[in-house]
Amino acid sequence: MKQSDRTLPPGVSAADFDSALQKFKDVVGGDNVLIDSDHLAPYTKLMMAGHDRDYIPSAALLATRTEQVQAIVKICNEYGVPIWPISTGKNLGYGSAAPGETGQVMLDLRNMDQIIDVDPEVCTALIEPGVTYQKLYDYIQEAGYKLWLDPPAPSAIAGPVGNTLDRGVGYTPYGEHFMFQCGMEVVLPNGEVVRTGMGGIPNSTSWQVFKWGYGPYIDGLFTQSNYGIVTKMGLWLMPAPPAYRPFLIQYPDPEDIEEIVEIMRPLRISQVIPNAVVIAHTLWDVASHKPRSDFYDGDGTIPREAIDKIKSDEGIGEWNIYAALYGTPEQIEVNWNIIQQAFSKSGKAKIFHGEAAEKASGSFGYRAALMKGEMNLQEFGLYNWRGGGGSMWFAPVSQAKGKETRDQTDLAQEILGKYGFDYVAEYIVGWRDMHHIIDLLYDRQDPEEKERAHACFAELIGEFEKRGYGIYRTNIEFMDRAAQSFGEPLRNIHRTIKDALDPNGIIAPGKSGIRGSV
Amino acid sequence: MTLSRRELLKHGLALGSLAPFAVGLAAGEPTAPLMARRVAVYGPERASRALRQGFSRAGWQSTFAGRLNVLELARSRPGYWIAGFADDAELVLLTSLAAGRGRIVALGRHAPQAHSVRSWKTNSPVSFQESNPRDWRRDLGGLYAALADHTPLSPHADTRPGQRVVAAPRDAREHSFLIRV
Ligand SMILES: Cc1cc2nc3c(=O)[nH]c(=O)nc-3n(C[C@H](O)[C@H](O)[C@H](O)COP(=O)(O)OP(=O)(O)OC[C@H]3O[C@@H](n4cnc5c(N)ncnc54)[C@H](O)[C@@H]3O)c2cc1C
Repeated sequence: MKQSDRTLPPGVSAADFDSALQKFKDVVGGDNVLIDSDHLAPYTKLMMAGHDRDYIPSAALLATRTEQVQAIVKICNEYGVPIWPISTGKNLGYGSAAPGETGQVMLDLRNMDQIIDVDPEVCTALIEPGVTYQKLYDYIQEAGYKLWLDPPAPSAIAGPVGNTLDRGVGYTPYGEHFMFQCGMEVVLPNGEVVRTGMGGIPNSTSWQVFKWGYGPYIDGLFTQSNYGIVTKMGLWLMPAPPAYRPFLIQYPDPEDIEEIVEIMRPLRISQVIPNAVVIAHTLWDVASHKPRSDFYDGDGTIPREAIDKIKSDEGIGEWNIYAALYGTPEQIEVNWNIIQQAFSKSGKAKIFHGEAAEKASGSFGYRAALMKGEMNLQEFGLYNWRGGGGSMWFAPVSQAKGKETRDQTDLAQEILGKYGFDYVAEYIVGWRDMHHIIDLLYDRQDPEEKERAHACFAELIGEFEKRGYGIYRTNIEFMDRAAQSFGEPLRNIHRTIKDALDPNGIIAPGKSGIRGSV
Repeated sequence: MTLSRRELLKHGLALGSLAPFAVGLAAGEPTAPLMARRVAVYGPERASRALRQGFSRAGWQSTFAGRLNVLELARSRPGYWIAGFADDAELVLLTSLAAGRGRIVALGRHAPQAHSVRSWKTNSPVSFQESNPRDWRRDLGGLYAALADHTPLSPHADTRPGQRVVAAPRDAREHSFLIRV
């Protein structure tokens, strides 16, 4: 590479960067400091509609120990080099493994992958950032523990630490990941190490079982943030239930979403249905295993007639609910009756479980796998729906109220339609909230379409915000814009904390729109 | 990765098993030879055969590795050359798998008579034109062999002067790759 082609951290001279790189090599070894463009290429693969040139790392470092992370952070402070930490680096559709800004150094913790402890009695784990769901799953299987994980859809290749730190979700009763996290070890921007919760007590026996510790609870400060680098995390694991019944409910019409949510809310809040339920729209349901061209070849938003044809050809609903029951067979039977009664009242729902559900939907198998914490990659099929490698998750939060859900659906469909994109969406039902997950799929190779996708995403944020709807997470291109929605007072607090903990602004500047004052 | 319902069941994906995208390789089997100038070629059989011909004309040995098996690749030892064809979903998985453990040497997008190939060694587009529509995969194999042979490349070594750089084809569904994992 010519010297002039080099990407440098902002405000850092080539000579200083070379000195920093040499020091990084002294810490992690030469093979673990990546600077060649073919080595860095995977850290530049974007799916969002931003300019490639805005997200080019200057280097990537592969660390394996907490002490190395501490030493790296000190070097970064010395030279003013910003670093973007990733754990397993599969934040696909939210920024992948790319830095938040060009010139940042990736701190890739994928090789820091020790499973430090799994306790089958209290059902907890303590792991490092590079541990994938697959690795933890295999470990548990080999040990013969009766414990379940809660992976997000990219399961095998993603990891609990990175996913939880971005406040991701899965599909078992432990679906809201941050709720089931317990204790962290964090390298602070000044290189000090802090253990949260009960972890500060030498030889603590309760680090992974009691979240709150003593005094202000700070774990949340290290999620969706840039206040530290998490090097260990505790999480709670679900005991495998004696029985499990995944099921499918299909509703035929667009307006049925109101009825579904009104029936679902009390069942979720009372825990009759305990898991993070999915209500998938026709297009998401089919896109996981079939391309759009099987049904429609035109440009622009897929028309209503084509959606209706998909529904009849595939035998699926406008809305397809995937949920599950867990417990003893007797408990399941009782709750199954409650659910059948609740959903049968209007006569619109078709209810399936077992083989009938398998036959009714090409997605049931993978949904049933995820709802019991098994590894599965079928959802990557979404990328073949339109092709072209463009994907951005637009993920507003909705109350679990039918009217609101209908409003969000209509609004999203209207805006996506205006820009010629498809409503490929699902709702993930929490206890009282729902994550409305829309995959804005577009052809990233087509500059015009990319621009259009960008404009569409911006309009989605703006119009949703006007109606009081905010997003739970976003990609690196839109982090500042999303932060704006939540108002200046909150941003001021974020900045004040950043200044106090990271005065040189070296950890992930721009993450969640947070930067220091300097 | 457009698997039918039956294929999904056959491959265990629909049942949520650990079976990955392809069942061409047994678990733990090395996915490609470690020796230099040997490459494992993935993708549909016919397309892969043509790509392999290109490699072998350039003096490379190749093995047909079946459909991309990303989970299996993730477990393989480092140091292998892999090349082949992928769909959009497989490409996302493959490129993100390469982070921290591989070099993406080249990626291509292909539609009839429109090819765009990018070298990540030099961070630049590579000229590639099919000599005739039937043989472009074989030509591509030759180009990929040359790119691999010239690693590390000089900035000019992988561009063939005088040839037109083609813009990324719209609606290209066929993606090619050359990666050192
Ligand atoms: C088809 C598909 C389906 C998906 N489904 C889901 C889903 O069901 N649920 C879901 O939640 N997501 C989903 N995603 C999005 C994403 O792939 C997952 O959230 C994935 O788990 C994130 O990647 P990761 O676990 O490797 O985290 P990483 O990429 O390692 O981390 C994510 C971010 O967290 C921060 N971070 C990571 N590690 C550290 C650290 N050690 N210290 C400080 N900060 C850190 C960084 O900002 C980083 O960018 C899906 C993606 C695809 C492509």
